[in-house]
This record gives sequence, C-alpha cells and structure tokens, in this order.
Amino acid sequence: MRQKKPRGATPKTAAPTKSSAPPTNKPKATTADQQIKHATLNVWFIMHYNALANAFKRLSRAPLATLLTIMVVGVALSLPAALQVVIKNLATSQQALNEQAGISLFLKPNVPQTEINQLLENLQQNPMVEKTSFKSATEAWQEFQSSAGFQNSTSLLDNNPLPALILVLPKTRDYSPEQVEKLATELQNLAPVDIAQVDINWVKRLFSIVEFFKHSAIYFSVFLIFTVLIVIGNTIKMLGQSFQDEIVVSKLVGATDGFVRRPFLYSGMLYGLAGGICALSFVFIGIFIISPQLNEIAELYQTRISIIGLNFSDILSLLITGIILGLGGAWVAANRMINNIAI
Amino acid sequence: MITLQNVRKRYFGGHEALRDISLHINAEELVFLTGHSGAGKSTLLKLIALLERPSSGKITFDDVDLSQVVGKKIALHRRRVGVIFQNPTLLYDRSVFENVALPLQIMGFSATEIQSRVQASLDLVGLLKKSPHNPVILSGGEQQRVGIARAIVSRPDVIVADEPTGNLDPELSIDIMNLFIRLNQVGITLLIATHDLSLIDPLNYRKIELNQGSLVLPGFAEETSA
Repeated sequence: MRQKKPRGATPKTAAPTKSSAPPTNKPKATTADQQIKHATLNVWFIMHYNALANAFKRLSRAPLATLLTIMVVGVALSLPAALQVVIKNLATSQQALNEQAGISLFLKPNVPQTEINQLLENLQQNPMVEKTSFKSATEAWQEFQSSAGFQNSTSLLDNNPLPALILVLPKTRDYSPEQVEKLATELQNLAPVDIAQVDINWVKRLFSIVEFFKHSAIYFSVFLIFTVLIVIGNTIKMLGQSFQDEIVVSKLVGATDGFVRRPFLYSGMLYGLAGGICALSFVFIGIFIISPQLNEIAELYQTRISIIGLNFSDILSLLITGIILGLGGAWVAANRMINNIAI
Repeated sequence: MITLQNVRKRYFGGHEALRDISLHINAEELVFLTGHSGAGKSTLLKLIALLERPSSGKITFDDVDLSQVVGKKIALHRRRVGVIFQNPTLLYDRSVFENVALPLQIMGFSATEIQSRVQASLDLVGLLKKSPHNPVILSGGEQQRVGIARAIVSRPDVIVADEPTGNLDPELSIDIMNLFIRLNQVGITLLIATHDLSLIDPLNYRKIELNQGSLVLPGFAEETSA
C-alpha cells in the first residue's frame, strides 16, 4: 500500500522532476474539511489574480461587444451624475438668493425710539432671525435723496414721506421659504409694524425647481440602476453561454461554484468600473461644452456663472456605484447560470 | 478505498440503471468494468465521481460516506477522482498545456508548480511537444491522451475512465491501456469501463461484469481475482 500523506488544495510537495515516470509523491487529504482549512492566503491571491486575468481575457475576446456594453452602462450612469451636477448648481444658486431674501419691516409713523429698540431686541432673540439692521426715516430720506436721479424730485416734497425700516435677515439655511413667509406674517402683526414685506417668490420658484430635479434624480437613479443591473446581468449571461463548456469541464475536474463564479464577478466589476469612468467622461465633456454658452447668457445680465462640477467624493461615489452594480448584476446572472448547469 | 453497498440507481422515468450493487475496490487496484451498452457501467462511474447520486444504498470513498459529501465538498471530492470520458471533453479555445493545467489552476497552484506538473503529465502521455498546440489539430488518440494527462496532473487518488478507447483504433487502444497499467504501477487506483473484451482479456487484472444493472459475479477482490 502507498504511504498516505496529507493533501490539501495548497501545493505542499516539491515540484516533480520532468521524467517519463508518473508523479507518485501524491500529497493526500485526510478529509475534505482539512482541505478547506489548508487553503492559504497565498492560494487565495493566486486564485483571485487568475480570475481577474481570466475576466480581462474574456472581455478582450469580444472588444466591440465589450465596448458597447461599457458605453451603455456609461450612458445609464451619466444621467443621474449629470442630474447631480444640475442639482448642486441650482442648490448653490438657491442658497445665494435665499441669503438675500430679507424681510423689510416698515414701521408706523412716530413710533418712539424706545419701542423700536425693544422691537430690535425681541427680533434678535427670535431663533429664526440671523441679524437685523435699523434705518431711521431720516437715514432713509437721505439715502433716497442721494440716489441718482431723485435730487430734483425730493425738493418738491415738503415732508419726509419715508417710514423707518428694520431689515430682518432670517436664518434661511435652516428654514424653508414657507417658514420665512410665516415669520413675515407674524412680524406683520406686531404693533409698531405697518407693513412686513418679503420678496421670496424667486426663492420659492427656485426651491420648487431644485425639488423637482431632486425627485427626478431619485426616479431616474432607481430606473437607471435597474437598467445597469439588467444590462450587465444580461451581458454576463451571454458571456456565460459562450463559456458553458469551460464551466462544465471545470466543474468536472473539481471547480467549486466560487471558482466558476469569480471571473464573471470580476467581469461585472470591470464593466461597472469602466462604465463609471465612461459616465464621468460624458459629464465632464458636457460641462466643458455647456460652460461657455452659459457664460454667454450670464454676460447679458452682467454676471458670470461658473458651473460646479463633480468633486472627488462624487467621482468616487459614481465609480463605487458602478462597481457595486456590476458586481450585483454579475452575481445574479452567474448564480442562475451555475444553478442551471446541473453537475 | 471504494465500497458500494446495495446501491441502486433509478433514473427519472423509471429506468433502473443499477440494481443492488455491492462491490469493493482496493487502493492501488486496477479494475475493469465490463458489460454491454446500457449495462450500467457509466452510471456506476458517475456515482463514484459524484456526477450522479444513488437512489438507495451506500457508497464510501476512503471511509467517507459519499451521501454526506455535499456543497463545496463535492468539488473537493472530484479533485481526488480523475475522470476520463470516451469523449475527452477538452476546451478547444485553449492550448494543450492550458487544458491540462486547468485542474491545477482550480486548486490554486502557483505558475511554476503548474508548469512543472503539466510538463511531467504531458511527458508521461507522450505529448510534451504538442504542449503549445490547440487540441483541435490533434488526432483522436492524442486528444484522449490530453484528457488522461488532465486527469492525472492533479495526482488524484482514483481515476475512473468511461470507455476511454471507444473512439480509438486497436493500436492506439493498446497504447492507452498500457498507459493505464503504468499509472497503476505507480500506485494510482483505476476503474476502467470498457465493452472491448478483446482488449482486456489478455490482461491479468480484476474484471467486474455488469449485466442490465446487476453484477454477474460478486464484486469483491478476494472472490473474483484469484
């Protein structure tokens, strides 16, 4: 009888010499459990390296089909990424406009200064108020007189018709336009206040537009996530069909499901990563093309707009999303394929 | 090494391929499994390689009950059993070397170890010079030998071969049989199914005959090989 030696998945014996004699120094396994335990980190790396190399090889066999799949994934991922850019820019504009949206409190005539001071103190204690500024009727009149084109017209007036004014700047970062409007209504009811005026319509419109884009982005993202999953899953399925013989033979000679699945998972991840890079290219090209035209429009309004692109975190998120979606699609397709091959 | 106890195999549809088979194969033994087409030879080999499961009965492999071998352990069991088919089931988009290297890649061997082991196996079957070629350009006998090289490269405990000479001419068949005998001489257990009695009759090894799913003689070495 031959001497039994422990054998694992890890090669433990010296390399056999090249000879016509059959290999006899067989490392033996006592049980299958021991084989699993003896799998070393080195073997793990070798197997993953081989699977990755195998995935590259499989994708490179059909370069045009691979490129088309990457493009489809890229287009699908670029749409939510582009919406993200739009939302970021609109939100920044909204923030800027919102910060300018103050509440003007026109005071009734002849309100005593003590009452005005008390009102200013109360307003400062209001949690919704960022800051306040007071402009007396005299200051307002002087400012009006100094304004270009009004010098002659003010001389026609006997008295100062302008009221004293308190400008209230709400904490717009923390509160919605509706809440700011509600604050204005509350201030309107204060005794010294004649009129409380808030011009927040612009902010409200922009807020609605941003909300619309946010909801659209969520809808499109969910829809396109499924698109990417289906595209990659279907591609992996077709890839699996062309490698069916290899899968059958591999399983016959002792491949685990994990071994069979691994190259497909790497293929899916490569599709997702390459699709993500493709999507980034589309977005940056889009920004590059749109920026000059947007600035031409902005110049008509004597202003300048600089588009906020994707930052490092956005880029990383997009690539990771691509990889995860690729992995997910490949996982589902590979598992279904392996289950269908009953060996 | 391998023991079958009252093994039955009934396929879906009612066909009974094996009926109450009990036999034992010792380690390092070379056993021929004979019988007409449809006698159950292939089914028996498939049961040992866990390509099929018995309907009833018990199969033990190195004292391990194969009914307990499930999931990932099935793959690990198959690494201990080299399977050779009548059709060599090669991958025709890979070279001879890559075909033979496949079991070692599956087991996670390093590139240098794969190189040396594959060369040794191809040298053994006389195909070292064909290593870089695609199997599609090889003859039927050469392709079968690539299949044999692939089956032995991972140094399995047992080789089961199902009609390995079925597609070969007599001269090549004798070469293949001689190769199996040499493998057995270095300690590999072999179970070879064949219906070609003229090929194995001159050989002094145990023969187990199956007829319509049943053993013609009891399948124990001490009772038949004397």
